[in-house]
Amino acid sequence: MSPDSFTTELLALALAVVSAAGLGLLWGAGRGHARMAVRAAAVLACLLTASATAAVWVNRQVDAYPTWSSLAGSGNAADSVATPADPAGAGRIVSMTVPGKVSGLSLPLYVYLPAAYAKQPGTRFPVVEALHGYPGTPLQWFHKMHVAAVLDSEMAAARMAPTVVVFPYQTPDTMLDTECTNLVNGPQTETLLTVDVPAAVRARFHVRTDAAGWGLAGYSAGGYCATDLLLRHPGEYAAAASLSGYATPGIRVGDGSENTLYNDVWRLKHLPVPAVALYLACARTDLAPLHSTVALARAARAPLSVTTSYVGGGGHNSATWQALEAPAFDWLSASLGRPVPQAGRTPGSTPAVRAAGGPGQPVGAAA
Amino acid sequence: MALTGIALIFLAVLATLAALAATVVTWNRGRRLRPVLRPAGVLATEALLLVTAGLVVNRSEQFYPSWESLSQSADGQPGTVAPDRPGDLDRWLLARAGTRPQQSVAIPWEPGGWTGWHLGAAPTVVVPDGYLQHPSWRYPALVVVTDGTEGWTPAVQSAAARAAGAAVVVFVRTTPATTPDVLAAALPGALVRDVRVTGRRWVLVASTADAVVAERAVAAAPGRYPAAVLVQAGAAPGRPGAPRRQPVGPAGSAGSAGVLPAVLTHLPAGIAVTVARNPAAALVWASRQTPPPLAAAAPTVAYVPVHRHKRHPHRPSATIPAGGVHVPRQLHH
Repeated sequence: MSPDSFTTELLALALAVVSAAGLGLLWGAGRGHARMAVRAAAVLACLLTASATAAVWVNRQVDAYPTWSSLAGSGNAADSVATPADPAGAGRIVSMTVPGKVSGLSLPLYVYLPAAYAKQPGTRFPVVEALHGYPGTPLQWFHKMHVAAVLDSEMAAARMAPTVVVFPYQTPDTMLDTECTNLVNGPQTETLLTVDVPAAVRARFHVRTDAAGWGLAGYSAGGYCATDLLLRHPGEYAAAASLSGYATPGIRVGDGSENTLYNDVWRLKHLPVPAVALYLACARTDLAPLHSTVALARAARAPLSVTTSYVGGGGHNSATWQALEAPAFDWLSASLGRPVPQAGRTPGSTPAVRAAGGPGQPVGAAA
Repeated sequence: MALTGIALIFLAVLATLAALAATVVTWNRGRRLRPVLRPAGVLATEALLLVTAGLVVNRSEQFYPSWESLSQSADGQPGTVAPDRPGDLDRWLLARAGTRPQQSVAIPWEPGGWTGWHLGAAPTVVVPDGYLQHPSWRYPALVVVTDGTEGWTPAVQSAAARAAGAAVVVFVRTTPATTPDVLAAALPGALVRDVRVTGRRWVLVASTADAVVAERAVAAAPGRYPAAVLVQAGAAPGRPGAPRRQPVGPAGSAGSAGVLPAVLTHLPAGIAVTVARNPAAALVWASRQTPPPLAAAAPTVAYVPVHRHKRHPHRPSATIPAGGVHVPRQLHH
């Protein structure tokens, strides 16, 4: 029974009802100070249980605290929990801990391995880093947006190439909003997501190592992250899809850079624009992301290419993102390089190269 | 009444106050009904208080902007999707393939207006194995430009196209009068009509003699050509599949294949450029920059909510590993 389960919600609701009944029954119990104490305790119980019912409901929406230990803020992350046999054609999800060698942040990571992954050990697959909203955790992708089923069906229908999708945490503290930035005197989550996570994934899985094989996706705050990390690290990623994302972090980074280098409209107006592809989708009713999307699309200029997609109805919620995610992942797959044979397995196929603006030369990233 | 309107919030506040007042007023009444009335009053007040708070938060954050967006099961309007249009030459290619529709087909390509492109000859289009068997897939295109002086014989071309795998390859013979605009716009526009190719993420392959026109075409259409590869001048035509001594060192070092011409080093960040030893190696590298052939993307829904159970039925999918994966609190750096 986890803090995001239906059972917990029912239990909290039952306790709220019991507390209310208790308040009614115990109102006249005791005498003098004892009576006052009983009444105070009963009222407090009512307030706590009602608040808990609401809190569990909110947690079920965003999955900010998927486990009790995450709520308590202690314990260690599990590493490499293998999943039981999955139905044919379905991908597999494993978890691991990213050793934050450069960022200093060691956080868990969920990895979706497509059905083709185990069958083709000699193939390097493209990778998408999928980022969550705030507050939230990667589990919202799985529990609310059913991302594994969506990826399975898109790949089975050949609308997506077999792709490894990784789901990192974007903050060491669920209630701390990092917006995937390197906070001054705070967590270096941009470094975690653009250096440590790719290094850990490349070390552990047979995936592509070049920018053509890496993309970003995200919703809400994660949508801002996807757009921002793509613009800041064009030597690491070729494309990004942002669902209901923003153009600015909406937090204080600590040095005022939320208004400049971390403001994506500012970047597009003042810095050299990278040759990458960006997909922006949101609901027309979701006004703040809509304004951000329109502002980004207006500020965009060659060589950046921007694709926008708007839906009627909806809002800033997981039902909308679930409706947007399949086309977004399809677009991403069509914007990335294909699965390739491991180096050395096809003699004569690797030319000597000197990459311009390739991996290791992120132009503009340090600006 | 709008879900995010001030009127609804006002109403919720009134209802909360009314529930509270009713609870207080009835608190000591109706001795027999007291065990029911008291908890009912308390619960109603609590629920209305929470609803009021929820409405205020929803008004400020716009999570659910309308009553309809709260619903998960209303029927959605299907989105419109571009019809899966076959290439104009597909039927002709099928006839040409005869009894072997699974195999690659190479044709001289003379699209309307090509004579104005100032080419040395009509381009050659090669569709890969399986192209005719997957009429719903779109293929990336690899556009190979050469001035005809560097040994791209028909045999070399066909071997190189085979090495490229699942991609449409177009061989273009340039002349000094060929403009970058032909490679950036005119030729791709015609190719998209005639053959089932994607519209973006292609690769331009050029002999070093064509480096300048290639660079300008890439600069003019970076979304179309996010990658380019130069085939080293005077390189011996490669024999695909034949092992060759590889330069030592990671990709990205200059290696022994020569230094990238200066003209290609000024392209914007995000464009991958490389130099290859031979045509086959160039086309293998080029095809790896592109996606595999894919079916058309899922249509974007026109309106949310959609009937989600139709599109993504909750069939069993991969289970998420349980077992205490969570974020440990860490000191901030």
